[in-house]
Amino acid sequence: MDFKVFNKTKQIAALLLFLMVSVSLTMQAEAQNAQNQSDYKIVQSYKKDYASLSKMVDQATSVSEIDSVITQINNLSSTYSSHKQLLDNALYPDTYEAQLQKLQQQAHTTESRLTVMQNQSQKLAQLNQQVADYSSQLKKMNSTTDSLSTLMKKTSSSNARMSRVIREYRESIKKRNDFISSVIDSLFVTYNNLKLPSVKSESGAKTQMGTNGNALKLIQNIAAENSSFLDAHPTLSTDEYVKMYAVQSEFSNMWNKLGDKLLDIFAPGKQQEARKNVENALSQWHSKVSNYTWKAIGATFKEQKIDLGKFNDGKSFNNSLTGYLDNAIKRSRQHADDQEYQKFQDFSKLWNNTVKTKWADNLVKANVMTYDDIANVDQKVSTWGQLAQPKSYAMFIYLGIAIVIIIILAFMLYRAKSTPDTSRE
Amino acid sequence: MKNNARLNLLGKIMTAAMLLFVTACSSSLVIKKVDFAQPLESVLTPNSKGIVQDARIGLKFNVMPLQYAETKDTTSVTTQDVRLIRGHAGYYFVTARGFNDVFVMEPSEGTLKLKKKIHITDQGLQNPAFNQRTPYVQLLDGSSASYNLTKDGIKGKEK
Repeated sequence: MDFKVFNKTKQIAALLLFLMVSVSLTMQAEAQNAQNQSDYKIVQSYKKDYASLSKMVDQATSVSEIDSVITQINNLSSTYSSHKQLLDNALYPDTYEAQLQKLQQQAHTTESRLTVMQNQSQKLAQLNQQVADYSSQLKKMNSTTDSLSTLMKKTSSSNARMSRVIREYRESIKKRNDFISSVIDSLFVTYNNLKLPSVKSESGAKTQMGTNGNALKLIQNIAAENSSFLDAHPTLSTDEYVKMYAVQSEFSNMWNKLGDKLLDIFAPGKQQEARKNVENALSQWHSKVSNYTWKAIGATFKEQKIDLGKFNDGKSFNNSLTGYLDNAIKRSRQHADDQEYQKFQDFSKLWNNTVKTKWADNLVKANVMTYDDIANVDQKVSTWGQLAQPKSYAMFIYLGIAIVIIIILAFMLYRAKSTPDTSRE
Repeated sequence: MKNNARLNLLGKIMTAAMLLFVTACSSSLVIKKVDFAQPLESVLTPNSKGIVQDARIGLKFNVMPLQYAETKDTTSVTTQDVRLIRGHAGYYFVTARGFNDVFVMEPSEGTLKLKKKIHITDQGLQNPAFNQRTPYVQLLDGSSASYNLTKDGIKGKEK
């Protein structure tokens, strides 16, 4: 039994010795191998790896790609750190550490750039989705307004029902205008903050742009649909036309500021053609909304029997207003009567209750009037008011009567004092 | 007579002193302990005339004499990449694939003069490479064979 155990122990010891010798020989061979490497080959290999990584840094197109390159640069550093002295000599006047540092710095700069680009790309994808949502929402709104318009034409029976339909119709138009304004704000804020060069160079971004989320198409559609909408709804209120004029003007302003950027993103290589299409659509929209608005404003003044003459833009409207008021002031200076005063009251009511309170802001937004123009008209209205009031003689009559009464009373008092008292006698 | 002999001796001593003075004045400046070691070998490809050039270290020469010494043939340039390294003492160690020897060349005015031809193998070097391992120049042939060289030969075998 003891002999068997001794034998087994001997076998294990022999095995251990064999293993130790093998490991030692392997290590020695490896050390020898390392020592038997050609310095020239090491340097060439380092230069090749370095050049390859440098190229990879330059050509990286995604954050994950550059992260992998950074890991490889770190590996390069650990692989060649034992040859630092050799590489310093071979790379003179550059050094191994300086080269590595430069490469790492380049890689981190590329990583930051690609991270920004990736974020921009994600942001752009979100924007495209948003634009697609806007398109469908606008379609839905158009369809609601059209249905209400049709219903309004058909409804003639019940007054209550009619007024409800009209209210809903007006509400839908207001919502539609507000929605388009919000699209303008949204497009402007988001696309204006977009860094174009990074978006343009980001691979894949362009493919996303060709689909539903095309902001250029959205702008063109909004312009075209508004032109059709105006033709389909020729009897909107003046307030609504003025609001639509302001919206159109804001839209054109947005286009003037963002147009180049949007053309670069959504129509690369076809900017000129795309610009022409959008600008034609915007011009048509402007021409229609302007035409309808000035007609409606003219009609509103005529309803109050105020004849401003002909006007078809902001300048001629302003000239008509000031011309009308200058004439009225001149008339009132010469002859103020009840009729003139009534004219003033009609004008003043329209000016103060409608133009100033409901239209002014939108007329300014539409770039057809300025607040200075409004203040100037306001001053003229005030002057007209002071001159148009008919002069009253009642005060003089009352004053005369009062003087006569005072004289009579004074005379009676004098007579009473000068007459002798006979009752005492 | 005695005076003549004295004058003769004095003259000789003065001549010797003058010679010593002139020699002392004309001795050149010497800087010692210069390390010429080239950290990395140069691998140079001969052109059609056998000229190799390393612009980095400023060296240009014709390899045909070395090729002739190895192959006895100068009809065409058969030498491929020439491997060359300067040891710390200033001698150039030159060899190439297929050579049996390493040539230790001593630079002097416009020439490289053979200092020692170190025989390495009879089968020709397969994949030679030099490493600077001061005070030696290491010669590798592939990953298996390694020799530490001095200007006098292989370390331990110097003659």
